[in-house]
Amino acid sequence: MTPAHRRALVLVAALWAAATVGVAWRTLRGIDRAARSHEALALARGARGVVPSPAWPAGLAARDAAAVRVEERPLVVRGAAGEMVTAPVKDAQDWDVIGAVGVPVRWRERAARVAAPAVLALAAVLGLLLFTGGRAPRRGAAAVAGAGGCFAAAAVASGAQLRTASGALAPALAAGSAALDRVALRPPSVAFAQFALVLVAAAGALALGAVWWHHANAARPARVRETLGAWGFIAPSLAHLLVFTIGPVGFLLWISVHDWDLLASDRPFVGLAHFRELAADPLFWRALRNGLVYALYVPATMVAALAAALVLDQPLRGIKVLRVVVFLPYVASTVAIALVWQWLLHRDFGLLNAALVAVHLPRVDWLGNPATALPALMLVSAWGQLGYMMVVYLAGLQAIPGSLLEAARLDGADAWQRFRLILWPMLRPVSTYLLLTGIIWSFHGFTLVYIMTEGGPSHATDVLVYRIYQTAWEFRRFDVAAAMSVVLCLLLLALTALQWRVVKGEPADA
Amino acid sequence: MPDPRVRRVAGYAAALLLALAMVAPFLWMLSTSLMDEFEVYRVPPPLLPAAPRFANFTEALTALPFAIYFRNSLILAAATVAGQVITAAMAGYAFARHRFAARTPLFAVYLGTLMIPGIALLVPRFLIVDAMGLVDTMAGLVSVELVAAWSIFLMRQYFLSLPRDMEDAARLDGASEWQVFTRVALPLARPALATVALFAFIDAWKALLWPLIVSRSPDLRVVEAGVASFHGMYYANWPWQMAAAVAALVPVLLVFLVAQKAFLRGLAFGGFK
Repeated sequence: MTPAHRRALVLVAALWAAATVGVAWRTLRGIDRAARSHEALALARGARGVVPSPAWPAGLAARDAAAVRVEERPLVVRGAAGEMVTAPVKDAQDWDVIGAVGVPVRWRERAARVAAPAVLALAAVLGLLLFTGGRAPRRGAAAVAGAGGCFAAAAVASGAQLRTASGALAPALAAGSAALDRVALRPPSVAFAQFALVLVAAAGALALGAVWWHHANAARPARVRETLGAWGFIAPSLAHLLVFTIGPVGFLLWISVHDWDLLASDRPFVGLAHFRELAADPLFWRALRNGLVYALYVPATMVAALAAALVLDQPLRGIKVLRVVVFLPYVASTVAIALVWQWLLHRDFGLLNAALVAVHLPRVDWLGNPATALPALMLVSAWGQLGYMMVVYLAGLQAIPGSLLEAARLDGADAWQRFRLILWPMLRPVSTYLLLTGIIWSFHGFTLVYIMTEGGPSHATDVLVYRIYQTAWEFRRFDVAAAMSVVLCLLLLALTALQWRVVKGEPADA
Repeated sequence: MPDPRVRRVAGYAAALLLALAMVAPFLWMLSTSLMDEFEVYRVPPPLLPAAPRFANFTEALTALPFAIYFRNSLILAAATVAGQVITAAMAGYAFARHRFAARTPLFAVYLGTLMIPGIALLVPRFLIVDAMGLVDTMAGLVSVELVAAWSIFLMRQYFLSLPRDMEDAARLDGASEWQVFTRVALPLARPALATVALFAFIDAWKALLWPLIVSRSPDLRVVEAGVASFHGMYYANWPWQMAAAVAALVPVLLVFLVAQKAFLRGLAFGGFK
């Protein structure tokens, strides 16, 4: 091992330890942040009163709930007693938030708690790396041990901090009111610390592996240089994908089989209980069925788009303008589109009903009637996608050699036969692509439902995304929402896999 | 085929009808936005305002602090564009041009992330951002869309389609890899960069669900969320709502009209992600 490699190893180890310390520090900060974040704020604002705690900053205790509701920021606790950890208090039924309590956090204690894992991690990693010279397997074992040490140190430190805070809250609560059932300190940071530490451990292992790889390939400098350069180019996007896409997939699966109560500090494994809950929930099935019905607008729009493309497939002046115009619905703000369509579909003053009345047809309560609400949303979506699908079909038609059609014509095939025997088969790849991507896309639709119907009337337009949104952010059942997300993800993955299989067999530009 | 002249007329008629169908809701939005508050409740509805009332715009856009919303949307869009353009150009270039250890498995991982629908990740992403203490901050708002696998693929395909001669020539002249990338490859890839930037801008501007869950305080609201809450507050005032909707449309339509070419290129690549 060359001195350069040894220096690199030390550097990596130091960075790794620093990252671990950073995560631990962030975790402890996160406890304060949790009190500051909108969850706790929203809960506290909805509270009927603030429980006076001995450590509560002067002034805040005297305030009633109304005052707390008005002033969001002062709840962020920085008073005579120093920084505070606040916690919402629930009633005996575990239903309503009726108060909030707080305990101070002392900076010196916190600094000690951060310093401990820092020193421990640094010592572990450096020691193991520097004093186990020799072969790669031993260094690998040292790296794993170092990672484990970092992980454990940070987890212990953050857990201890939480326990201290919880313990301090208990007497404050006991001094408060007998009606209070329990106090819960919201600890998202612990779960996150675990998540972040896994990421840090992965990154550290990767870095150590890179140094080892560099060592092993020292005889091939060009390859080493190119690889390092390329990984440098890829690192930013890879880091983001790890934190915001790949990590969350694992996290999602984890949440879906655990209880995730925002206010509880323990999150027991519950197996498939949330999935069973979904299976027994008629509203979930309703949303799934609504989604499938809603997706039917895709084939319907495709038929219209193909018809339009067949008529427009000829040299026409101004077709370029049309190609721009048909994309307006796609680029335009979806909220604006939802608003104008809600206005167009208005029962009493909408343009559409005015047109119906003008030709002596009865008014339709498009968005207010469970029978027509979903079809109305499908109509809006069809309007938005028609142009795009037509342009794709047009491109497909223009790729078909004219000689083929000419030959068929000379053989006496009529227009329908030419369509059925030549155009339709040749457009099949385009149609499959449009159908599958369209259906996948249709399951993403949130804005129209959110603005125009809010899932109503009587759940007629409740689709999975909206249900996930409501379950998580209105009913605060993140675990059930995660289970629902898993179902949705599997459904869309199946469709995507199907699409990729189909595309593989077709020309790339299909 | 019938008589070509009949077909031609049918073609123009269809084109006109289609264009009208696409544009009519926008025109109706514009027309309503200029009407008097009670004019819209006349039966049958007037198609045009009796006297255009431009005050609707100033009134609607000051009823809620839309200036702040526009600022937030612009910051979100600018950060998304910058993040996606930079990361996509770098990663796309590396995948297209460099032969390096673990390229194939890494590329498979990137391909895999394309398959995962973003909406299914809302819950874990939110909890992660929350745990980072970034809920209700600009950083949290911006964070999740800074990198898009789709953009990386587009850039990779584009770089693959470019000849390598100029890059090799620059290397022979002693340019470093970074110089080859920034001075030679990037200028050639400008069209693809424009496409990535355009789609990133449109997607960021239209985003509603993520901003809705991650930002609660009014001073972090984006335009889409602002118009949505405006809709809830002034439910009966359709001219104001339409004025707000028109205002929300203007920036993204302008960008689209300026950069149509980039848009069509993106569609050819498989546009609707």
